Order: sequence, then C-alpha cells, then structure tokens
Amino acid sequence: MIRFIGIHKSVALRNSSHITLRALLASALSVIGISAADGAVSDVGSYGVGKVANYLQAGSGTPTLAPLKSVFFYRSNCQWHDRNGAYQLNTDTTSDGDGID
Amino acid sequence: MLTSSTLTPPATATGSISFTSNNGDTKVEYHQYFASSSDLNAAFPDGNYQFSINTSTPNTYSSSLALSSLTYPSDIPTITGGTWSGGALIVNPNISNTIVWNASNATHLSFTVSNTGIHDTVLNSGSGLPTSYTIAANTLQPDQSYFVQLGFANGNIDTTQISGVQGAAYYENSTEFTIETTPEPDSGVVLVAGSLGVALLSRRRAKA
Repeated sequence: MIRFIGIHKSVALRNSSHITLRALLASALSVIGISAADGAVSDVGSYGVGKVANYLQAGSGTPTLAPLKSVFFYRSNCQWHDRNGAYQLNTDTTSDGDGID
Repeated sequence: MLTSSTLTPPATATGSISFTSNNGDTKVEYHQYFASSSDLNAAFPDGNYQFSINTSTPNTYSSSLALSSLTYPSDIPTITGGTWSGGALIVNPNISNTIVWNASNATHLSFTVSNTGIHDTVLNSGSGLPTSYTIAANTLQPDQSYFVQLGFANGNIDTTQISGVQGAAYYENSTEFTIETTPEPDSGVVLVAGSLGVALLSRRRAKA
C-alpha cells in the first residue's frame, strides 16, 4: 500500500507514463458526471474539487488515518452511475476517451 | 478533448495550482498531499474555485465550484468480515466475492479496484448507499495484488454552469486496502490428487 509521508505533489495524466497508482485510485474518488456539452463533439466530461482524508486498512480492525490530508482538482472523461437511479449516464463504449458514445 | 485549463483557488489561498496537459489529453488532474488538515486548509481554504476549461472543439467553459459548507462524513469506510493475512484481504478469484463495508449517511460513495475496470460511484438518492460490492468470479487473476479504494463523500453537484456537465465539490473519507488473490492449485498436486481418485475408483470397481 502506498504511504505518503509529509508533502508530496504530483501531476497525473492519463495515457502518460507519469500516471501513478494513487492517481488511478483518485481518478475514481468522486467521478461526477459525464455528458456531451455541445452535442456530438468531444468535450468536457466532468470536473471537481475536493478534500480527502486518507485512511489505510490492513486487517479486520478500524482503518488508520494516514499522516496526510489531500486535495484533488481534476477533470476527466470518467463516468459514474447511480445504482439508486437518480442519474444513469452512458458509458463510453467507443473507447475514444471522450466520454460519450 | 482537453487542450488547456486553469483553476484559480480563493483569493486567500497560499497554494497554487498548475495543470500540465497536452492537446488530446482526456484527463488532467492535480493533487497535493499535506501533513495535516491545517496545512491543507491554509493552502487551499474553503471558498470558490474558478475553472476555465478549453477544449479542441474549440470551446471555453467557465465555472465556479463552492467548496464550502461541507464536512467530512462521520463514517470511516471500513471493510467488515473476510479473511485478512499479512495486511491484505485474501480472496479466491475463481469464485464471486462480496466485499462488505459499513453503512454511511454520506452523499456519495466510490469503490474502485485497480486494473479491473471496477469503478463504482454511487449517489445517495434517499435510499441509502450500498454496503457491498460483488466481484464476479474470474474478474481477478490468481496470485495477484490489487489496490482497492472505498470512499464516502459529502458533496455539492452543479449541473447548471456548464450545460449538461456535472461539477462536484466534496469532502471525502477514503480508505485504501489491498486484496491478494490465492494462487491456482499447483498442477503437480492436481495430478497426484487426480491419480489417487482414479486409483480409488478402480479399487472400488474391482471389489464390486
């Protein structure tokens, strides 16, 4: 498991060798929405800003707070769905990365 | 596709944000880690965060998300049950496995398993957040480690500033843990077990 001590800063880009596992995990932390902003054109998928308290669990007990807090700013073509039915958004089955079919 | 973007924090922020992106990137992300919440809040206080997003259409989208009036969820995501060993949750990948966790009154939940395509993000629309996820048989590979993230978040969603697009401001508790899968049965052991079975069956038939 990744453990961060002190201050760490990174920038992660999909399709880049610089992408980190933590970024992979973070990419789905609050993936909020997807839509075509102007019809059939590839455009913005989602965007957001957040603060995250990170915990680690390594057994059946209570997770421990990692010595850090995090903040994420991102935009992505990632998608989400709502099992409760409030939002049901399409998947990017064309796999062209624009977040729309 | 994204071409360039800027994000401006509240005027009282001491931290700065820089995105590095190339034409054609589908995702740009910035994150920074701090030793304490006070350090985090000093660098990036609550307030309005201004987005300016440029795309190849071309279009420029502007939006402001209010990271304010939010609190971290009261519940820490915690996996319950299962077999743990060496700091990891042990599962047999050849069968379906249901990962179970505690309930939360947060507004959002996310569950991610690395390298599997499992990204489950759910909004609490009044009927509560799920407390489990079933990983289908053979989704995971034998004798592998997977990093898993479970998050509870309280957030605000804006769907008006950029038409048809959702922006989120959120506070989140995120728990990470490791799943380790059991190895395939050793082929030699399988061969011996099979041979013993055949021998036993033959002996029974001989007696009959």
